[in-house]
Amino acid sequence: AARRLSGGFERSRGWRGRERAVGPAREFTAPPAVAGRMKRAAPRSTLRTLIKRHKPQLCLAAYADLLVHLNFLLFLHRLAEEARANAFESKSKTIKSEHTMAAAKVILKKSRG
Amino acid sequence: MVTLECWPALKPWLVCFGRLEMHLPDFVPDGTVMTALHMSRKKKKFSISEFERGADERLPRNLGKWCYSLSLSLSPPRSLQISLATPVPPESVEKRGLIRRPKNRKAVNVEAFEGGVEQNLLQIKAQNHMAESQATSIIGMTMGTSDTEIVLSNTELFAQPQLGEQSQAGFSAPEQKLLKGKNPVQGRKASNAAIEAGVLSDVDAKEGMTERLQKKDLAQDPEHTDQMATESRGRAVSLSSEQREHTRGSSYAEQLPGADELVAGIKYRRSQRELSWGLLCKLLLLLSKNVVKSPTSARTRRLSRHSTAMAALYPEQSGRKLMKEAVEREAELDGVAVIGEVGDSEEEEMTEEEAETEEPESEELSMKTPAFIRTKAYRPSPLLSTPRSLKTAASRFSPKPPLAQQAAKRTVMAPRRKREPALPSSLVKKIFSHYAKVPVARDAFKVVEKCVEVYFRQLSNDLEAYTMHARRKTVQEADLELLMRRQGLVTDKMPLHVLIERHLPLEYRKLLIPVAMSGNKVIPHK
Repeated sequence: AARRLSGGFERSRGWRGRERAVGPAREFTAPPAVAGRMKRAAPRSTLRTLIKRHKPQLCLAAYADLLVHLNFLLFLHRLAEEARANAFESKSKTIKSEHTMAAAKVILKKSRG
Repeated sequence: MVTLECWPALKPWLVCFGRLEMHLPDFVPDGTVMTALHMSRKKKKFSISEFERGADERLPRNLGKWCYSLSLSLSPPRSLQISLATPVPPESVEKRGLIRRPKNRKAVNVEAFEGGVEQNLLQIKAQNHMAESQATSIIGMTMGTSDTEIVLSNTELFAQPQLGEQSQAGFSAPEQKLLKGKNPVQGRKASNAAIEAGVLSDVDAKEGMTERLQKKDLAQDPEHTDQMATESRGRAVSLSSEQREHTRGSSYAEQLPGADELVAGIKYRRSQRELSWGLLCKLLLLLSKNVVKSPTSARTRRLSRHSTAMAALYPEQSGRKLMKEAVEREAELDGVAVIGEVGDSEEEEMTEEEAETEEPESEELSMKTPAFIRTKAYRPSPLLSTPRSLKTAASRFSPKPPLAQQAAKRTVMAPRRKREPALPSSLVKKIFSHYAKVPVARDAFKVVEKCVEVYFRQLSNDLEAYTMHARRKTVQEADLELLMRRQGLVTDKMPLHVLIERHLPLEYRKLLIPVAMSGNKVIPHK
């Protein structure tokens, strides 16, 4: 919590006080101030289209797609970890498709919810 | 300004540029005239005028303007300078050309120019067509086709006298006048057919003529070129054949029979000497001319591409097929005369093939060609050394049936192109390789891609279940959190916000995590 508050303070100072609009959030670019490696921006529109294609009657809330992206990242993270473990077990320095296949089976089962 | 006629005898005049030089050709009729010229050499202006007056008096106008031009040529070398310019048709030569009288000049321009232009065009076209006719021995055809043309070709979309002149010039002089304003399209077709035939047939004397025709046609029919220029410059005969197939419009129906017959006649005549290409070209051109005004230039473009592709890739086969198509078209349109004419001795082979082949075949051909040929068509088409006229002529073909086929194809292609939205593979690769921390094989990425697809399907199902359970229609953050909790990502020890902070960039964090700001403000606003 403390960390969050301090982070909030920092953010508030650097913040220009943008207006918050309810509804589909505006797409914003990755903050340029972030040093080091920065992941790519979440493809929010693509995510929304994907879900719409699967379930047209469903719609996403304002920032729900960001959480979907988070979920996606965590999924890939788990998948990569599992695949890396498999590759390591077979004493291979690179991840091969068979490692990934085995990992996928496990992780998909886990991600069923 | 004196203009020298292209008189062979005047060549010696042209040679001498010296103003003072006065070489009198042997054919000088009157030595007295020349002596007069000699006398008044220094004052050229006056001498010219005087000479003209004298010439007018002496030379009977009935002899023709060329006589006058001859006399004019005898004038001092001042005319020589002018003679180097392009020769002016006799009609346009003004009696008072040497004398600068703007009044008379304008009067003559108004009246004589138009007539001169028309006559000039007629003459040129007549020359071209005559050259063609001589080669193709259209003489026998002119009698029959001209009548049919006159009778059948009533409705002409293009009231362009030039075209009418063209078509008729080749057939017969008297018919020219009749068909002047009637069959510009057909005329163009004939010329275009000749042009294309000439272009396509490599080893034919007509080619030269057709090329000449092309150039002349181009020069003479800027309107058509403009029309066609907009369209893609199709080149091959296949274009015209396709167009013929697709000609359907009732407006063209009347023209088509005449054109068909004409084409058939030409075909018959030329078959004896021409290769199949030439025949095809003529037929296609003639028919296509009827369909000159294609509804959309895009269609013609595609068709031209089609035809060019077909022509380029399947020269012989397409030729035959085009012939077949042409014959089929003719059959459809007329059903009688054309086929009968077409089925002449030399063309028996073609007719047989044509009879066998059906439209679906040609359609299939066109169908086959589209994808890969279209891509290739552009390459061969520029390679083909087709003169601009040919291109314009080809572009004129407005095939409707191939258009429909293409449209159908395009509609089929359109949804295919849209495809399902998929996450950018580069993003997936980047994220996965970042999390993996070790090099990943390329095959593994494919597996990952499939996994992602399955994952999204599962995800949407779960979210729908949760939202329906909450009797909502919109997926909220709470639903997502519930999903992550069930997945095992969010536990009592690991709240969602921590996960957000860990994995999402700052911008997203700001949006997701409400932060209390000074002044009792919470951002984002809830």
